[in-house]
Amino acid sequence: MNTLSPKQLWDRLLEINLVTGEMPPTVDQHAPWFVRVMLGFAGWIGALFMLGFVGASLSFIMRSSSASLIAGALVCSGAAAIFRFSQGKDFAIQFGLATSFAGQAMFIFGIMETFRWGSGFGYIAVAIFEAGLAAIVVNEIHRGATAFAAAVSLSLALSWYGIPHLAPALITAAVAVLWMHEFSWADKGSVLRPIGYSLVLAALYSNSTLFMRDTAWLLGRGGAHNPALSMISSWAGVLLTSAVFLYTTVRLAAREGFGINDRPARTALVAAAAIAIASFKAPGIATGLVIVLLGFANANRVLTGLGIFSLIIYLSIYYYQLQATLLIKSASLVATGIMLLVARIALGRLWPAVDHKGEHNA
Amino acid sequence: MRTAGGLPGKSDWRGFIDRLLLWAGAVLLAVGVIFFFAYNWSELSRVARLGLAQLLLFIAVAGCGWFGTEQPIGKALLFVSAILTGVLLALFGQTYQTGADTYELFMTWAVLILPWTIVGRLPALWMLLIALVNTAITLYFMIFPGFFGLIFSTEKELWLLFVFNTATLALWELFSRRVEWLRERWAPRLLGFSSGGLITTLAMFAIFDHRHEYVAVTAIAYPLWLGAIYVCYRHRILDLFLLAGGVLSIVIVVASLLAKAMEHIHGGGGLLFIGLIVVGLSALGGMWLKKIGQEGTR
Repeated sequence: MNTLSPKQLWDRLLEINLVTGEMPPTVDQHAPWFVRVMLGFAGWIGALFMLGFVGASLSFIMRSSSASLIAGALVCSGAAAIFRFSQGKDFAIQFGLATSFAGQAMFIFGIMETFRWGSGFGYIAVAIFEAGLAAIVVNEIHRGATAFAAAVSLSLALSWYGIPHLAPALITAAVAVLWMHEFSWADKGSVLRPIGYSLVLAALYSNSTLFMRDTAWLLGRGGAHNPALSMISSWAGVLLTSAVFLYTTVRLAAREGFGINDRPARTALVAAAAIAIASFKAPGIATGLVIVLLGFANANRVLTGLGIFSLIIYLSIYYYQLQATLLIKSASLVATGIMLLVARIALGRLWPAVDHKGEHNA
Repeated sequence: MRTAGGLPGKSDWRGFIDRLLLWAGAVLLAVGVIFFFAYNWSELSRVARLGLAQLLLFIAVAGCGWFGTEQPIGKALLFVSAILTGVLLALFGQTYQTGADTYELFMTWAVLILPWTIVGRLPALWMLLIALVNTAITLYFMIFPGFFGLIFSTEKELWLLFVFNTATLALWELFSRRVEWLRERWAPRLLGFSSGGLITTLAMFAIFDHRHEYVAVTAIAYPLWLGAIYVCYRHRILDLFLLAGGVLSIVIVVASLLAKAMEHIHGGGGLLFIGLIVVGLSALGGMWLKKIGQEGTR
């Protein structure tokens, strides 16, 4: 990978007639991801104080579910209008963020009061509401926060209906499809990129909270407990996650020009299948590997870092999950580790590293 | 992206997959071994368990010696050896009931892997050592909450962690000028994040509980920390991540100060005012950070 200066890049694009004329001024309007995270977090703090104001001065809103729903919807609509007409003004955007977060809290309060706190239908309603906001509201930080809330609400709804394992698998599939098409859907990048990052975090959340006793969000305690359904859900989740891992491997190999009949692609597929089988008791590993691979393929260091982060966090939490004894978990991790190292040895044999003098490295 | 050379080529892919398989494989193996010994399998005698842990450690160290710490596989084996040292110590304490406290286990672990950390020249190994010392300090105060006085033990713990992490950060930045392998930014950013989180928490302690003995120290240390972050990461090493952390810390501390000042004011007007101040301050901070970011890209 090369790191070209803007001038060098423009010259190269000129050479192959992809652009014409003078280079436009390079002013990057986008703040780095951590500045956006900081602004989002500060917006959330502002929202807490605004909610305090509503609770103290307009307490009648919080005493009635209808009033909460109406007030929440009005405040969120107002925030959406602020984003739409703010023309990028920082104060307006930050005010819109805090206002919208406060409005969302009011609306979610109204939903849960209406349907029953922590119920599956309540979570589905929250997921639809948040997904709608992610699609409509024109702001990257807001899109990221609402897409995350939508995905997490969906995973809590599936938990409530007794099929929790499907959530991380479905979110991983969405992550793979979205990031795989980052460049072909580049015209929708401002919409899809923040959603893509949020889904990565939601996959980490749902993989980590799987098999924990409490879902710990909006008082959810789980509804259906059908052992047969749970087993089907578990296998479906593992199979779907593994299929996404294999799909990602094959598609990335194809992007590098290797067809399914070429030896490198077939070797990668066999290695991925072996890793997926070895780690079937710890599906979070396949999710983490998918994110790391996509991050590297798209030259996106933040995504690669998030993949590594999700692997570390998953392994830390995996210890406390209740689906298997530590002995079985240990066997799963050791088998996956050995499989990865065997794949590395196979890689060395089938695709030897070549140094600059054209000699094979030992 | 492909034309601009922004996407990885075949040799980039080869190197990346090689590193990914090596590090993920090594870490999963090491974590799997931890899980295995934590299971405390009764089918395996204590002596056999101890022998197995020693054998695994021996293989990892011998492998590292064979490949050398310059090679990636040697570094990975050294990292695994450092983790297995902790497993062996825990197993030793469990088998012989040494009576040692858990903080002693982590401290001994940190001391034992220090020589490897020095020769390994691997940021991840240094971060493991720093994490072990942090854990040891935390566990020490959990076991001896009353050693320095019951009321102030939490603050003492946070102060000690803050001083340790800030000093480590300062040393890291100092040495990274001369030592190339220390220049990876993730490690100092993690240390800076930890240091900032701790001093911000201490500032909030001082604001909401003004009776304690550290108010004056916090009133001096917090602005000094902010100033140091500004000078270091605005003028010496440009690092927007840590500057953004500083901005967030200011927002939290100002909101806490205002909340404390307005705690006796009835009605919600004060809360709305604080919310608007938070919005204004964070927007200003965001504008400032974006301006610095644009200067950096020119």
